[in-house]
Amino acid sequence: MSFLPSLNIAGSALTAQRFRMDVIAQNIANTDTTRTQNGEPYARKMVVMRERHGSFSGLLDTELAKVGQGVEIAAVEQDDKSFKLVYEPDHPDADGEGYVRYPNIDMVKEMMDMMSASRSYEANVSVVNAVKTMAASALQIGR
Amino acid sequence: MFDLKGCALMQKTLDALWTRQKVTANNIANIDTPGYKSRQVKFEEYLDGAVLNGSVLREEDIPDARIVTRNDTSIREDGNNVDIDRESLELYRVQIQYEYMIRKLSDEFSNIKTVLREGR
Amino acid sequence: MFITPLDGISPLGQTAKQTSANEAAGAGGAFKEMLSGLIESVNEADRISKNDIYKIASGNADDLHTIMINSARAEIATLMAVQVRNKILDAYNEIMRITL
Repeated sequence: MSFLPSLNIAGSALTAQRFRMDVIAQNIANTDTTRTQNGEPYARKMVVMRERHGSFSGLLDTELAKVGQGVEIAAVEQDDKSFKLVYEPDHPDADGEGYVRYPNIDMVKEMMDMMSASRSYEANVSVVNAVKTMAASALQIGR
Repeated sequence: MFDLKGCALMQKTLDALWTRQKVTANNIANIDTPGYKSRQVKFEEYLDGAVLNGSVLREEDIPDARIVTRNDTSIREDGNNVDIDRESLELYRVQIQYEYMIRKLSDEFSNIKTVLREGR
Repeated sequence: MFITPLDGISPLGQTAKQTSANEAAGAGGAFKEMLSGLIESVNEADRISKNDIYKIASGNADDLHTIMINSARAEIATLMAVQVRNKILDAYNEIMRITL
C-alpha cells in the first residue's frame, strides 16, 4: 500500500519504539531476578534498530527506495556487562563466598532510555498528524 | 492547446514539498538507528538558479527536486546525525507551505472557472 | 463492477465537427484544427482523471494533490469545451437569422 507512504514510514517507527519500550519495561521488571530458566541471573536486553529497505514491490518503486521506508528492529541483544555482586550470604542463590549475582541493570539508565523512546514515539505521532492535515487540505483543491 | 501556465510551477512545488515531507518522515523514523545519515530535499536553490538564468519557466524548465544525504559529523557515538529539532521544524514548515500552495492553486482554478461560467 | 478507465467523449465531438463543417466555408482549416485540439484536450484530461480513480482504488496513488489537480483540470477542460460549443451555436444562429 503506497498511498500516503509516510503513514507506513511513521507506522514502522511507532511499532519499533513501542517494542523498544517493551524491552526496557522487561529490564526494569527483572531488575532483581537472580535466577532465570537457565539458572543464570537475568541479563539486560537491548534492541538494535536499522533502516527498513524495500520489499519486493519496493524494488519497482525507485522513488520510494530513495526516500526510505522507515525503520525496523534488527535484533534484540544481550548486554555482556558482568553481573553486579552483592554480599548476601543468606540468599538462596549465594555462591561459595556469600555473593549473589544480580542483573546488570542500571535503573537510571533504563528510565532515561524509556524517556528517549517515548519522545521518539511522540515525534512520529506528529508526523502522522502532519500527513493527515496535508492530505485533508489537498482534498480541498477545486472545492 | 489547453495549458494552465501559472499552475505548472505550483504543481511542481507541491510535488517537491510532498517529497520533502516523506524524507523528513523517514529521518524522524530513523532517529535511533545507528549509522543513519539524515537526508534532505533540495528544490528552492535549483529554482532560484533557473530563474536567474532568465529562462522562462515553462513546465519543462522547472527543475526537479532532488534527495541528498547530509554528511555532517554527528555528536552521537552511534553515528546517527538526525537532529530532531531541525526535523520537527522542517515538518511544520513543509505543512504550512503545502497548505499555502494548495490554497493558491485552488484560488487559481476558482478564478478560471468563474471566467468560464460568465456569459451564460 | 469493473472500472474501465478509458472513455472518450464522442457526442460532443460529433456536434462540434458538424457545426464547424457548416460554417467553415473558407477558413475551415485552422478553425477545425483548433476545435479538434480542444476536443483532444478534453478527452485527455478526462482519461487521466478516470485513470486516477483506478489508481486510488488499487492503492497505487502516492499523493493526493496530483489527483485533485487532474480532476480540476478535467472539469475546467469540460467547461471550456461547453462554452466554446455555446459560442459556436450562438454564432451559427446569428448567421441563420441574417440570411432569412
